[in-house]
Amino acid sequence: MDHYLIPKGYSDFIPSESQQKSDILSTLADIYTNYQFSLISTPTVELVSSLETAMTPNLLQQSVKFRDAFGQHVVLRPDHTVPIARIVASRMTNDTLPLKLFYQSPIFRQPLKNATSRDAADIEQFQSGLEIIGDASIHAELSLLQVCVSALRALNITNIHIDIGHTDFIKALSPALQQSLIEGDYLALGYIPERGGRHLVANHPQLSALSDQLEALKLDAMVSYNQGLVKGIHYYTGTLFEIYTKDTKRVIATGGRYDSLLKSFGFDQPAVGLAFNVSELMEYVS
Amino acid sequence: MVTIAVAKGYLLKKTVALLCEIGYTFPENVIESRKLFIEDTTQTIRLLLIRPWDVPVYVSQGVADLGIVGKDILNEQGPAVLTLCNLQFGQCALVIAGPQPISPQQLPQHLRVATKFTHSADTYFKSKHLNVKLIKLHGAIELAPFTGISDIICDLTATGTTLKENNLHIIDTVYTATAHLVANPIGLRTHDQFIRKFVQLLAKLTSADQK
Repeated sequence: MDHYLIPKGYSDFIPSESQQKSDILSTLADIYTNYQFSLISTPTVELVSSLETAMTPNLLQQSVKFRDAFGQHVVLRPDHTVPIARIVASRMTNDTLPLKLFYQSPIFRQPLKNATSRDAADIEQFQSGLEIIGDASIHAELSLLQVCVSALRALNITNIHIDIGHTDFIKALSPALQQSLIEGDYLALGYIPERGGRHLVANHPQLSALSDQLEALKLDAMVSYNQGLVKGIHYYTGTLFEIYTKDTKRVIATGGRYDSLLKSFGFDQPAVGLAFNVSELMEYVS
Repeated sequence: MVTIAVAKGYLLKKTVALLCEIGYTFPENVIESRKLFIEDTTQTIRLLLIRPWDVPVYVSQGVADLGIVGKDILNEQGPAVLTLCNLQFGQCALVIAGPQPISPQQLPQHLRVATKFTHSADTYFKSKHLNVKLIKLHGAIELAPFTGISDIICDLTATGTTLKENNLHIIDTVYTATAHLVANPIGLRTHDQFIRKFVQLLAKLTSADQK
């Protein structure tokens, strides 16, 4: 029956599936609230003209854009970080810093037009995540990782591991080598990037401070420092995280620091964020 | 145990020979076996014997930690995997070929091109500012100009024999390719030390082969 079809890249959730998702979201929300994060909501549809300077070219290309009923050029929320930066810079500049915010809504991304990877992907992806705005210290990273670990424990997801990277790791590389690294072409790069324990960050004051703190919290066993951890999205300006389980080899959360994003909305504040891929979490929690 | 997706077909023999050369032994003849997976006698590695076109999928989905597959298929699919090593064997080329011995500059507009490599062909013709109609076939591509399905073809060739036998002339080379070792990004982290060592051993052997 043709009228049973839905667009490619979107999914239905019948009660049993919806229940599972809402259980996960409420477990996460409880944890976030315990750590004093507050819920923030952004509209599903945004004006392209408001977000385009803050969005990286990749994100702009991947976003779903169209004309609304008023003829305005609009975009379905392609991530939460950019719309939240917009709200904070426009309506929350007098609030006490740091702001600790969380969100639980879908984002919409389509495959890149020239992407060579033609893996089937969801366009609507459910995310649950956190932002800390106005704290430039490594303390912000540490609290995000703490919340993340607590959340995964509350969901009974075990055997998790955290890889931590930093934009400083790749600063010394030429643009061509940086591109090879981003593409995962270690053959062109000439080596497999180093990955390991705290000895790798001994000369990096920020990350060795983070490493000390993680050790004090007994989280160091689940953390590796990874000089090859880079992302396609270029607004990160410091630490990068990737949280995954070794059993399934799937990434369940990602994040990092993006200290120059809020400046593009006229409110120069450091920020760091982390988002769970809720569809991935649904694979574990049943 | 580290799982390696291995392309069946013309790369398999050399792949197994290379693994034996770095010290693995298998309880049975891998090439002649009809099994879909085989573990080495020390149960350190498990080979998944699958079609070349499926290797990048197994690796990107994390079912296999490593994969051994032609660069041609990697170029065509652009999978989310890490490229670790050029294994140097299985040399072939993706070429444009047709019934007339012409130069690439003489290719006219609006040709019909039969190929299995639609993405690579599309990229090639766009770079030459040529509008073409791509016709996807899965095998016996050389038959297409003869039967009138297409004007020219874009296909892999190792020795050029099949092209010659079908009266086709190479017009241009899109790229050359050899077997490569690829990894799942998290597979690499899970078996970090093993894979680094494995790559070192393979690199040593394949560079020795080159000399």
